[in-house]
Amino acid sequence: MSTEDKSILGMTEVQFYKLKNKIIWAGISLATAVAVIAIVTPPYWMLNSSLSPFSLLRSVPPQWFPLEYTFAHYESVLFSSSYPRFYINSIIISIGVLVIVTSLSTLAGYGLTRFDFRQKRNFARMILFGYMFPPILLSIPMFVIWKDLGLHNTYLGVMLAISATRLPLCIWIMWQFFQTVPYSLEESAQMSGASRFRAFYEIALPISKPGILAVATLAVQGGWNAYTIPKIILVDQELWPITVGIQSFIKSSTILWPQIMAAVTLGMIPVIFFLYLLHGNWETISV
Amino acid sequence: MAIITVVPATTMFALIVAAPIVWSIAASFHSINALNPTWEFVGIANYVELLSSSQFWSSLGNNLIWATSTSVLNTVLGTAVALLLNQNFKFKRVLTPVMLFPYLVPTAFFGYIVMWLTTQQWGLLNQLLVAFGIISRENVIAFFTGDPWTAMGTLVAVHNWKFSIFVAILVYAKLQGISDDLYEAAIMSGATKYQQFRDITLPYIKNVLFITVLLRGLWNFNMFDLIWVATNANPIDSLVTLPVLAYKIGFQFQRLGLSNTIATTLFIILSIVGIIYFKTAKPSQEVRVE
Repeated sequence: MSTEDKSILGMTEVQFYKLKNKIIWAGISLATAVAVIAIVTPPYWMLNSSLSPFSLLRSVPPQWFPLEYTFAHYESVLFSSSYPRFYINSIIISIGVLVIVTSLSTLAGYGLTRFDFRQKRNFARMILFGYMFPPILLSIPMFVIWKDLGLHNTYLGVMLAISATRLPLCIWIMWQFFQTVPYSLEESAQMSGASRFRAFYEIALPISKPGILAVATLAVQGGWNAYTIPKIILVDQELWPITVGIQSFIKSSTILWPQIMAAVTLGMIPVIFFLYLLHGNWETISV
Repeated sequence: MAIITVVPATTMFALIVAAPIVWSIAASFHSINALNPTWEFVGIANYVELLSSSQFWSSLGNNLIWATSTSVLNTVLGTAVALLLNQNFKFKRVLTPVMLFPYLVPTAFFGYIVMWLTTQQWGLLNQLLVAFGIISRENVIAFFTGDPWTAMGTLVAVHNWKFSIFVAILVYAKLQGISDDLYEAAIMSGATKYQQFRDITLPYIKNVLFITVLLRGLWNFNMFDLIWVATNANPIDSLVTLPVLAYKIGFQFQRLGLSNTIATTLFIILSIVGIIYFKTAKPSQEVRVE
């Protein structure tokens, strides 16, 4: 049988498959283009709105590439609002969460790997169960408890609360990570006279640096992203992080859109930095 | 040393996660005013009030619609994005971080962006609908203040911008673990693209999809920040889910006791889902626990 006999839709088989591959390739390209446009449009519009003069925001049809740019909205956000204060609060909260979560989860991960505990399996389950907890569920009772303890309007209270939501997952990651670190190295250090703690500090800790970095990234991200917990626990405007603080640009009579978009853009700077840090290591944040 | 390593984290975990739950259960049997926190024991009155109020049941209904539709869409779109990223195309090194970026954007920030995109007069969504001739300039849509179904549909749709990427990240990581040999062998034996997907890709990602759907479903069910921010702290009735209701009752009506009753109800739902999760997905087996 020659190839001509197997013609499909008036084409030879080879032509048909070439066409079919082209169509599949075109379909994939089109889908990718649509996905990229859908993903890029909201942040682009945010940036665009924060830079356009107010009059251009209302133009019909929308001005995709405004010919005029202005930094006036950034100026008003940075120099005549409480936004810098919120930004500093966000940084303080993120650093607090970073310190608490990284140190506690590294210690706990190490301990869980190296020492024997009864009920390890149940402990693992409990940790993961804690990971599933939504902030809204914790923060309502926390508001009551924190108020009794005098923590409900403090940085420390917020740091502890956010850390609690991040801790289970981070312990889990460090637990898994330390299992890949061979114990023999520490043993040989102990043989030559190092204390157990020194063996941990000088040998296990440096090896586990990638794990600690992953946990640190998650912790900072948790601190920077937190909305529900600070919103409920922090009553005092002076202490609000940016996620909550942006609402101060919504006045009862008017909503200052360009200022909000400028504030969100500025808040995105650390996010872009994470993107750079995580490049190629996406699995670490997905868990 | 054994004690020193684990105790701080465990104590903190117990104090900060377990204590609020116990507290919340206790508080759910009391009447507490948020401004003047004296506890007044009321027995199961809060539960009776909650279960007999129509608002609770409609919120639960909204919650189920919200959680199911977002989770299904997240999974389908997220898997699609992951499959796209797994293809070899030009500019892949540039496009991969761009396509995975949304998951890093804080939900609250995304909420403000959504609020801006959906404003009635100058919002981009309405502008685009007018530009493409789908609606006329006079009939711009009030996304979150008009029709209840439009509000739900819009928020479900935009939810995917960030959260289907969560699914994409997990699935993409798993897809990269599939050896090319498998596909080559399949192509050699004449399998079509669809057959390759059904017999190689799908079995490989089935487990991760299962865990993702469960976690996403749970978190979507309990989502508060996006709903609250995007609707400018004033969600339309169809978007009042149980977490939103708990917040409103606790902090707008100052009834912390009743608010904790809702939190306890959510906790019970969460526990049931959690048990299913541990029975079926067995996540604790991933760590050697001997």
